[in-house]
Amino acid sequence: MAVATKERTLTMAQAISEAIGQEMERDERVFVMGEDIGAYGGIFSATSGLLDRFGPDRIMDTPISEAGFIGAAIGAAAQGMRPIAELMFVDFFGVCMDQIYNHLAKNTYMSDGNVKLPVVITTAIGGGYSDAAQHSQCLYGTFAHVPGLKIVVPSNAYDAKGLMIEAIRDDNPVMFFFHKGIMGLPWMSYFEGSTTAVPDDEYTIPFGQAAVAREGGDVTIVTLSQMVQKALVAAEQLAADGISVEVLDLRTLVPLDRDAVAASIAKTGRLLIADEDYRSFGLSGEICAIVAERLDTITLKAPVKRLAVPDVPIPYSRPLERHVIPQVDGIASAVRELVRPGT
Amino acid sequence: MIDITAPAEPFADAGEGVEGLLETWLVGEDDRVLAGQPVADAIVVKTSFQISTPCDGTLAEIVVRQGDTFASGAVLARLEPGEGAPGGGAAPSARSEPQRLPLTGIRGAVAREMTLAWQQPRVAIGVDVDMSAAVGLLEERDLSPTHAVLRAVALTLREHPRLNGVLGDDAVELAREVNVGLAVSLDEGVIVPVIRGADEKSLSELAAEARELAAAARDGSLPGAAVRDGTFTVSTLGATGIDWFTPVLNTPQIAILGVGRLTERVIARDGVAVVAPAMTLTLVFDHRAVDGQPAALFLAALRDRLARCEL
Amino acid sequence: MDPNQDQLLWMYETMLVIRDFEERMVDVYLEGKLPPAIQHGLAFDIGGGPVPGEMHLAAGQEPVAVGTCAHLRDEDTVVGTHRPHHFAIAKGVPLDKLAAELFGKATGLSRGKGGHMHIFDPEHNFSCSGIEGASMPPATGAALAYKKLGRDAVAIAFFGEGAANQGTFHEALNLAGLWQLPTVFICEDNRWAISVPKSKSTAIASNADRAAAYGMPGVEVEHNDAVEMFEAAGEAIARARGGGGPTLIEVQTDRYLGHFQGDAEVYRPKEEASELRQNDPIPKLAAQMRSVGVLDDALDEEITRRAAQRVTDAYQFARESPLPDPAEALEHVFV
Repeated sequence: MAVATKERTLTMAQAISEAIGQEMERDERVFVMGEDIGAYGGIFSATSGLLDRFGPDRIMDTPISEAGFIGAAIGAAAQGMRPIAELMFVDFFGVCMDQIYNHLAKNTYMSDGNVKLPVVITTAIGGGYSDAAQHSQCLYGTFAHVPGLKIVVPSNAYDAKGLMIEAIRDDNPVMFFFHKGIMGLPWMSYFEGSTTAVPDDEYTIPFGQAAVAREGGDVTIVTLSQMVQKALVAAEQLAADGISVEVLDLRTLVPLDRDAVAASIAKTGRLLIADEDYRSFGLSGEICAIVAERLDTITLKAPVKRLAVPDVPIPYSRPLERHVIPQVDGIASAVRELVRPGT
Repeated sequence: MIDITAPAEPFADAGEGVEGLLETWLVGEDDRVLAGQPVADAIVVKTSFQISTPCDGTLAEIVVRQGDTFASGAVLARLEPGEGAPGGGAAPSARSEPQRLPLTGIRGAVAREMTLAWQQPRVAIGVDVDMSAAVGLLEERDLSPTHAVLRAVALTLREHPRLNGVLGDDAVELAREVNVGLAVSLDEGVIVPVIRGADEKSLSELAAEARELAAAARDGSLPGAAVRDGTFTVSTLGATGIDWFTPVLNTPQIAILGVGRLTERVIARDGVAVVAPAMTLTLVFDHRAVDGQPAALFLAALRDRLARCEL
Repeated sequence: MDPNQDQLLWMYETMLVIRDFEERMVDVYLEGKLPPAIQHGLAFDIGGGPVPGEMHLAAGQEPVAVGTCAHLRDEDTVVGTHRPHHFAIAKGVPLDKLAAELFGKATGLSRGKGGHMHIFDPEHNFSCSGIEGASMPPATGAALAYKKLGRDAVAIAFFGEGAANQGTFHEALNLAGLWQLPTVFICEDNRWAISVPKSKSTAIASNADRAAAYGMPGVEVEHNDAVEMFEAAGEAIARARGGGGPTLIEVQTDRYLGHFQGDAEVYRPKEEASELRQNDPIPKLAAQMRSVGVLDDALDEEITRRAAQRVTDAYQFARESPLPDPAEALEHVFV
């Protein structure tokens, strides 16, 4: 666990629960609702330790009634509270999507800004551990597509804490997607790059600012969430072969740092998008559009490449799942193809 | 006694002290095994691999049991090397209990291969071949119809390269050499030794090599390399009296030819019914790799070559 | 209605098969998930081993499955939950292909695409889902089809007491009651929804009392007992088959293992699970059968041995089957 110095490291799960705890101390209007977020501490440990500190009135275990309690978060927010509601797996959004996309996302607009809904919806995303089609999706592309929701997707503990505090303080609805495979849970293999040094004081990270996770000159990989960690591992392998890869971590999809994307590709001229969401009609297409719209100032040295889930549900069996979710070696091969002479 | 040890390669990226898991033994103690035969499924963290035997023999002792872990280089089992009839099938017995042939060893390998092969989009086309012109030659030189087919296939493939090769992950790979496999039935299972450069061998040479390979396959002395690099397969059930059949593709090859029995049939010649020796050839091909038209042209050319005894 | 001799013997053997299948999975599931076979620093790796991912075992809940399925034919529909093995086995899903699917093998029901929470067997009209509350609407739909087609088949929706608070419960029951559909809704109350006890999730004590709100009879089966379940399910299924409409049954049952394997169950008192086993429904049924002369030592041994062999064969079939080719992952999005 964290030592009280500036040098301690936290897992992403610890960073998230720390952020929520610090904001709950600062502002008594903040409370948390969700399934198994109290006694259990959250299935993915995002609210670990909070029930003991704040009690069941502010850390509320709910029945299996997503439409009910997410809708309730909306109503409570309209009355001035600042609820955090956890949707246990993003895959479960189907049972409460009306509340999210027709109400949470739109009431502010439909009221001309008069109604403020400072709700944070936290949710677990991602696969890679054989949880199959209904428990392994990312779906941030689906939510980013609907106007009115801010979309936050951290790739590491340091970012997660700053982005969570920013999310809670934002007066707008924010959806906070944490990838299970980088939470640093002791029961799921994870990429160690996501566990980082985290300052123990409060700090925020503004939305709409992508981070250059690794600087490079030959190829830009635009990516987010666990895929950032995979891209960094691939970049290290490619560096040994003299290929210099820049990894751009988007951090938030709404707002999206389009200028950072454009600037990086203008520099390298080669783009690989590495995305764990479904390929078509989503994030990777949006990044391509950014480039396509700026071809007057960006010169591409090779056609854009996208690695994403190839429009199939996530299969259960391990070799099948590894085939559809982009892996480190797939990222490295794609980069090599981009820099092949003649391209 | 030879030790079968855990290979080091799957452990290359694992951390220190991380062990592999032995998931499944595909053979049991006292089973006969062939060189290169997969005998166990294992996994290191998330990387699956198979353990194979270094030579023919009998699996004498399983050291690491199913469900147990092992370190790199650990002894997993012990093998008593030696020759003998391959296959693990049980001999028919007078016991009243139903017989059970486990899907291990060769049976298991065949079952797995057949499962894979059955997934292909396969098309079968057939022709009847009037063998009147060829039977004289076969009798004279003491050759079987299969030998004639082997020779005809080798020559015709040279002229129809689209049928000669394999289907890879993202390309049809047409081969330069014509390596024709001949399916040989064993007590339990089927094995396909390959005649390399078949188009450069004469009818007699092909027949001699086919006989040698079949004999070696049946007594278990076939080297592991003999079944590799095939570009086309010929399979015959003629000896068992079958008229025609649609063989299963020898994945990843593009095509396979099934040969039925040579027998007297009533056929039409110049508008008159005559009795002539004939046999049915069935070509099964993978429609992902080649279309009906080129396949049909190949089969027609093959028939004509045999009917005209251009061997 | 009492079970006859054949039905008793079938229920007994099926419960033995289910119990054995689930309990063997406890150890098999752990293969490859514990040190030293996993990444450094982890205590457990959910994605490791031959049966990766989540695993929800139904040991203790056998009576609900056999007491219901004893009345069903292949053409009747059963929609199960994320804890589906006992329902699948009782419905007649082949044990070897079920096991192979759990191992992700090419010989599995879905060639490895579905896995443990997504068991589909159209031949036996069995399906299930990993989403809470997702069983009720499709079961209602199957019943709708039966009614339209004039068939006397019935549809069973199984769900847990936690899922009874999901919107789908209310909508599906209302539809079934409104249209008088041949559906039987069976709520397995094992009193825990992961870490949340029923007392903290449900506004009333018994879901059977909710039936009246949807225009159907509600029945509470108070014991985790195969014969009690047989009787309650028999009546409800006969009512549905005869055109008498839907029924809601809540049955008290016991979950011996965690919500999911790997669950440390810190929220449940440690003694609870072992106390529950003192009311084990399997020896209870055996005792009942002995008392009416349907079971004796020799028969018991034969049945037990046969059940164990069936499970052994299924697991070994699964282990020895090949994994699917990775490229199969792209197939069958559409037919």
